[in-house]
Amino acid sequence: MANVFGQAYALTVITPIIPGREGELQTYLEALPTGPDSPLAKVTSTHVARWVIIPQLVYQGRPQQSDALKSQYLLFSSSFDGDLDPYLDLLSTRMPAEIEAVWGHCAGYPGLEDRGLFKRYIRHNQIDSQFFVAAYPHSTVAQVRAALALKERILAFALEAQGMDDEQLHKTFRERLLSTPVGGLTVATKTATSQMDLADIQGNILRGYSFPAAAYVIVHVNDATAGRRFLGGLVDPVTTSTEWEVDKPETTVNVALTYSGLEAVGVPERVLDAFPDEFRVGMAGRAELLGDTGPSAPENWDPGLGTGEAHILVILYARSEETLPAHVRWLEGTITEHGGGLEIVHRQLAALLPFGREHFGFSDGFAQPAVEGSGVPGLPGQGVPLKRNRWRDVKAGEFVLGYPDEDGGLPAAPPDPLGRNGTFVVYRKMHQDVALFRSFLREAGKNFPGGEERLAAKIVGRWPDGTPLTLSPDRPDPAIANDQQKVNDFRFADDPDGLVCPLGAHVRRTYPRDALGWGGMMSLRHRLIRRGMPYGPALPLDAPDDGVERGLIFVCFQANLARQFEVMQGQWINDGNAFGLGHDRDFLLGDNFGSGKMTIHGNPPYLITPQPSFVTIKGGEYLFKPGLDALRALANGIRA
Amino acid sequence: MANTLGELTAITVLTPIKPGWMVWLRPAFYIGQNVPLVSKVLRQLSFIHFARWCVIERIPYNGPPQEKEDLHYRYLYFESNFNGTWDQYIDAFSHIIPQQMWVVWGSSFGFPGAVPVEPFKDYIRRNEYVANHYYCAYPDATTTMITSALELEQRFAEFKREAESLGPAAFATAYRDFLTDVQRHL
Repeated sequence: MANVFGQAYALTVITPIIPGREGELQTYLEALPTGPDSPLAKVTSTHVARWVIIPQLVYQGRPQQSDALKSQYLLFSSSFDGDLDPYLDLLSTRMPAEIEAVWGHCAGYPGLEDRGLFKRYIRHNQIDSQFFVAAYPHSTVAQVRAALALKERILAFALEAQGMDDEQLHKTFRERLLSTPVGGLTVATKTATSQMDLADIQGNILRGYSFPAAAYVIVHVNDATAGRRFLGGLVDPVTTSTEWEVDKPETTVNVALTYSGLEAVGVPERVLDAFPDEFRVGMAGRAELLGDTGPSAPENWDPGLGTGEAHILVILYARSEETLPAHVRWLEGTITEHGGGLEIVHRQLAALLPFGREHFGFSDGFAQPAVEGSGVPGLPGQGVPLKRNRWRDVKAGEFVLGYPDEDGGLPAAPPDPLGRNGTFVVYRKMHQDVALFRSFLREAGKNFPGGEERLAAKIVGRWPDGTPLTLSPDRPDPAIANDQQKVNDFRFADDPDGLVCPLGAHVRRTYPRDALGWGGMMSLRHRLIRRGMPYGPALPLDAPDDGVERGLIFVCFQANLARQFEVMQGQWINDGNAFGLGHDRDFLLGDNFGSGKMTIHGNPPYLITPQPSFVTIKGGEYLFKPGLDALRALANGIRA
Repeated sequence: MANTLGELTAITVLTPIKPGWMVWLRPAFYIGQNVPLVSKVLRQLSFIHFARWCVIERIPYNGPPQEKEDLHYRYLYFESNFNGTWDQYIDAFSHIIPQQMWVVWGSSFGFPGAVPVEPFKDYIRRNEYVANHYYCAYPDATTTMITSALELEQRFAEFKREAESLGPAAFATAYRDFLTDVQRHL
């Protein structure tokens, strides 16, 4: 049985057509749009596919005995990426109407209410291949398309470059092609499943924008029609994952909506009901669980956040801090075009600090999950820990709806077209009291072996330059910190007492790796993709508090807010029980009431207490960042 | 006719297998699938994107209103997705791999041999089915264009890595070397 060649799979299915329905089926199939409008185009891991009606067998003459079929049959054949089960899932979620219309004409078709039954029907009627051959066996549809697109760009450059002098050649190359990530190069692994529809997924999820400046603008919708028109006007400007890879732009635009925002643009009840509870009540509604109490409680948040007024978040990035204001003005212009129909309720600028640090002085943002099928090669330590020091990528469905997740199925999602290629967003403004943090370290570091810097490293779990404590317990090591292959390649199971990296250290809490036992299975489903950015100017070293607002705009993406962000924030940061630390909270993110402690494990242990409030939450929202098709559907209005 | 799409042509063939020939057919396929040389030749016929042979042992039964089929023979299903015309395709099979054609279709009733090619073409035409809907994710790309693009991508990645640290003069030289190296793929 040879259904597989490289990473490609050959599916052949023969189903009996209900007598009398052959003509209808033929008419239907022949009327289907072809090319990119074919319904099969929605099943994006399909290289080639066909439907063929077999009316009768052909008699070859003697010595063959005449053989005749009692029914006509429908043959479906597809050559696609990855395994059969995820493909059948994809088929049934991407083109349910066409499946009903086609296989509805066939005997035994069980419908799609129970997807398991549908899959069983297909498998029952599957004919195995004896011999399957593919010309590019290791390349997925996305990789083929990416390679073809890249070739066009290289060719265009080569033509332009003819006759240029060396300086001009070098400069033009750097502008046009040096920043081109080679997105499709990663060879799909044997366990590859569906590859991703980059043209439909908004940018910054699978691959972070490397731009240094951003603006977050939250819009309130007063009039549903204006809201939908506004969304419609964003469809073209919105940056997709493909656009980011192929066409590095000057600025980017992305959009997400809160539950109230979906309501405000007229999304019907039946669709709203399909969204999860935590998304509906919003971050403010989850304050107790998240530990947003005292000064961090929603009543103390910045205006516009946590009140239900926040409807549409537009995130703008720019190549430089200088080009951002014009980009923001463009957006503001499109908003005022709608008169009183829209108003801005929250505006936040952010910009990277030098050396990729956040305000407390720690290198940040470089530890991200490796996502299977994203086209971004996974680095050691980013994925799921395996035996013998290896790592595998995390299933895409942990982050983007419509793809298989670590549970083997598809993540819960609102109905198509909203669900597919979307993700849930956490937007969270975290104010940092830098002066307080520094003065605390100065005091507490006096009696700590290794001083301030080592104490800071013990609190965080990494040295300020990013070197993991686990890899270098006594000092930062630039050779590790600057090496992408090394800086995340570590585990905790060998340090069960936290003697090297304390059990409650920040990086240990936020991604426990294999620390919770069972080789990492307990951490597996709680990963986040983080795309935040610092806000406010850096506070110069040795300067006293200047009263200027600064901190981190924390943004993360996940398929499930409750299982991912809320578990991390509610159980790992805001509590210590999972690590045997009782109610101890993450020392870095602070306690809201100036109490609390941290144990720096060692011989002897060092206790730091009380825990100052280094970080205060100034506001946040839960949002949904839709795929492009979904965005269009929102703009056009979804039927009740 | 739904059998062509951009650069691609679809071919679908069903033929009855002579009794007793499965003894030869199965090992032939097994060897073909697992011995790289055989599939290599097929892949060197560089106009084939995806091709497969299946043996239909029996038609699966799904209950009424389907009637249980009671066929005398197993059937050989063949499909291919290729560039070029139908005629060029069968010509290529006939001229380049006639022995393999014998091993595979020799097991079917009515096969006249792969050489000469006209009777072979008649045989395929008689046993061919028209696709009612045909889809390809990249219909304007031929296999050669695709394998070229993939090769170019790989070499470009290597070139980019080196180029990152070069000054303008050194870069210009490296770039011209790169271009010379990949010109077949542009």
